[in-house]
Amino acid sequence: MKGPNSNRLGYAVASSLVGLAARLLPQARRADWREEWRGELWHAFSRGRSTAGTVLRSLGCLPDAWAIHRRRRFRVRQSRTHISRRGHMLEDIRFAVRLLVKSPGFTAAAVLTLALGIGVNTAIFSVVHHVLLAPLPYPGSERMVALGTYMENQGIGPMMVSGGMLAELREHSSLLEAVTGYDYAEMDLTGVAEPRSLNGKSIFPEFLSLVPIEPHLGRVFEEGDFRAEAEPSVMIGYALWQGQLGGRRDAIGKQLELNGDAYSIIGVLPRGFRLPGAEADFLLPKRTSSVRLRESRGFYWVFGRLKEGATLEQLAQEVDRYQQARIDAGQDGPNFRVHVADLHERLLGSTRRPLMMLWGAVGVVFLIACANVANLLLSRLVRRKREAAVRAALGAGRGRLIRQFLAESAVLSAVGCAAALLLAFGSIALLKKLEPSLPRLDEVRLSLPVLLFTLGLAMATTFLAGLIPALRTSEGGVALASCSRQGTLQVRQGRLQPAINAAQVALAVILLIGAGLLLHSFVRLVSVAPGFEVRSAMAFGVGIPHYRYPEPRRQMALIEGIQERVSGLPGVRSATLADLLPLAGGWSRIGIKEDLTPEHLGALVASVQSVMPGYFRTLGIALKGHDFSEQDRTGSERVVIVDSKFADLFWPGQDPLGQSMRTKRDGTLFRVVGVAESVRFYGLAQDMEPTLYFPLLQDGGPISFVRMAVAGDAGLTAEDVRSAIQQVAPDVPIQSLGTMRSIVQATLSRPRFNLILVGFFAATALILAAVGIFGVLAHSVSLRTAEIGVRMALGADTRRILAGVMRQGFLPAAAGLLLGLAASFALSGLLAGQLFGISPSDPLTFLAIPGILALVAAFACYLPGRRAARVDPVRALRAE
Amino acid sequence: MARITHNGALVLRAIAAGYRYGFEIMDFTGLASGTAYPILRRYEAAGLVESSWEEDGPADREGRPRRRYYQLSDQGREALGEAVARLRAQQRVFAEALGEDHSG
Repeated sequence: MKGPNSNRLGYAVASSLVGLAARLLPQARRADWREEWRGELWHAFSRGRSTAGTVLRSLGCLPDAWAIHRRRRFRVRQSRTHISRRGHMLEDIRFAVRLLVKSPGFTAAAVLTLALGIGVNTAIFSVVHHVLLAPLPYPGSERMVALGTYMENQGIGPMMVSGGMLAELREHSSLLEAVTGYDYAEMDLTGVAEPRSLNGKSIFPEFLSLVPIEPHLGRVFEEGDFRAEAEPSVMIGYALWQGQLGGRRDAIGKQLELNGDAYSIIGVLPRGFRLPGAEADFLLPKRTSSVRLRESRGFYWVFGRLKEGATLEQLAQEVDRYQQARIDAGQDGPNFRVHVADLHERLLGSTRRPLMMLWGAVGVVFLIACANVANLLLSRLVRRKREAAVRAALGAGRGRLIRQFLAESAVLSAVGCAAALLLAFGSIALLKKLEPSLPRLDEVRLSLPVLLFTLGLAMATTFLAGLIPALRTSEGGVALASCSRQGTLQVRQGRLQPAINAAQVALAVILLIGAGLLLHSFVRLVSVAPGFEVRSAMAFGVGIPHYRYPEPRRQMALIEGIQERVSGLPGVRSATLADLLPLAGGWSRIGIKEDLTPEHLGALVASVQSVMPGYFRTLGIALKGHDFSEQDRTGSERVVIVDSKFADLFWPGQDPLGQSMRTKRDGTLFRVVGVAESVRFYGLAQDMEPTLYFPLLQDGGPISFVRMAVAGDAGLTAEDVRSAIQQVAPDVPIQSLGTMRSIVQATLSRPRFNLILVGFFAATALILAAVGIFGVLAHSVSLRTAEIGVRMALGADTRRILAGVMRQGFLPAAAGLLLGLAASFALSGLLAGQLFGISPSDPLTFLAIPGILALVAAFACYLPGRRAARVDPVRALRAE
Repeated sequence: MARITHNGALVLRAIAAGYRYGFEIMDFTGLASGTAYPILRRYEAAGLVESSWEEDGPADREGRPRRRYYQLSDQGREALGEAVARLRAQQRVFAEALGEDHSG
């Protein structure tokens, strides 16, 4: 520098000041800024300016540098939020997808877990929605009511309602907008190569205003079709149309022969058509006037629709009044009450509770699945702390990190959701096959509300499973420097993951206890003695066509002939016919006249059957006294066989043989010739009703359908029996009902269904919980490999390591077990209605389930424990 | 366009008058370095002034650091014009006061 030394000194001082101040600036800008100041300073000093003044001036570099520094920080913060605000959601999702593809094992595990958790929920919700929640598919369905006759003192009902009551309501009720009824029309399809029995229904005119029908083909019944003098018409069901008429469009106008009479086909019912609570192969119009209805002795299933503003209670009172009038007039017994109920409730029957419980069960499975996914994400999170730290250093805010994790769990949920829908679709189809008798099952499908529910679940999963790890990661500053080469941190998973495990185990226990109770109950049910021998006796239904056998006498002759022919077959030990068979459906009851009834009983209704001789032997029902014989026919002394329940009620402590009783049918006196063991006629879980058996040949009345039971040797086939019958009666429709064993099995179908479902969910819950325990523990072990290595190098026993690890994993499981047991104890009362023969706090179940769970949990802990014990200390330490 | 401060107008005026280097601007305006330079940085960031290094040659030859000089951008010129107009209006207000002084 030119100029005096003082300037040079001055320059040196000022220059160093500038150099110092430059430290405030980012590396990139430092050099230029320094040069700018130094350039000015040099110029000033070398021009001979005042040294002091220039040095003073150089002090200005400090505020300059400071201002630049502050502005830069502000700008960076701005750009940070700027980036976050610009919706980078698409980028997040793309990144998430790449990341998930890179770890296929994790992704597969998470997706499968989600598919299972969401899928079963969707399937069950579709049932719950369409059966329980959705209104019936009829107009004004929330006002629709159903009537039923009940015998309260005997706990019987609902039964069909008398025609007189229906007529009364039709004519005089001010509360009902419309009321109608239907009854059974079990008729044989005749005039065809293979006659068979059909289950039709005959309906009253108002039926169509309550249940509007859109015919698949042709038209519905009109007013004219219901007139007594109208030409007989029929609406045939879709299946019948396809099967019998080949689904041809020219079926309309053709004739269908039922029971030998011709009916004109006016229309085809839509596919899958069902009456409320019943199926129909065909529909007939009831051609009867009101007067005849009132006086008829017919019974009908009655339902109707209330007027706007009318209440169920008001109708109940009105119906009570009518019924009382009928009782006073002697048209009905005093214990016969008619109740009204909401139609939906009546159809549901007792399925509401079990369905809601099933839904609760799948909800539990869903929670466990979510917990597993959350744990999976948490475990992965620890490995990704390094990545998170880098991101944070590059300026990603906490919100950004949370969004990234949510994006990942959203992608998982979306894929899991798609897989879940597939699973749900298959499950629904399977459910329909397993339990076809569930009410309104035909309506169950993957409809819009169900899809929305699934979507909602998927979103809930996204948040539940994704938010926990996301919040975890952004807690506190994540310093880059604290990440080891492996990219892991001293694990702070501490308490959260095991707590989630404990919750999973608790939930699984609840389900397992439920399944255990149902299983125990089912086992009890299966071992109930039905009262008859469940052999491989074959059961058949035989129709007796009225047009071929118009008189009762000829019908009886036919029945006798069939029994004789079949009994004579080689391989047949005994054969019998009766109007009904136990557990095979149908019912028949009769009132007992009070005059001979013990006083304390009041009005009594007994189940009644008309049977041929050999009934008790064929079915293996124990009999005291003697069976009916061929002599017991019309004209001979009226005899009856009672069952032990009836005998205990009627003649307690006495010998029933030789006693007499009268029924309400005609007041004839009957003499008791035998006492049969009581049979569970209506259901294995149902109480036995007092039963009377009358000789079929003495019955006298017309009979159009009988059931036959054939006990034979192993080689006997249904075909053998069928051809034997046809030799005697060639044009008689024969229906094979299976064996008595299969009939008994069928009654177990609903409890078995419940058991299978709950069992499946419980097993799923157990597996998920066990996998959860295993996963968390295995992960913890892998993180602590170095620590274990150190311990082993210092001489720790492998057994102690194993024990330590197992203890770590088992503790949350044990806590969950205790919690779950307590909860199960409190909740098990809900199952009471489904259980047979055991109490909701069944000790066997409450002991066995914890045992099973403890074993499974121990195994889940053992595997990672073994891995820990096998750690090679040398390798473990080297890796760190 | 935000209004520039009085000091900012001084700085812009200095640059417009041909005083391009930081210290010259300070000499002309009489502003301290702690004031002038921040203004220069702000205005550069806002696009009112542009800066560049002087030619390479002379600095290298003389073995000294380069100097940085400032120029007005179009925006800066606009802003200066606006400030001058404002100042003129203000001067009218004060002219009377000033005039009284003078006349006094």
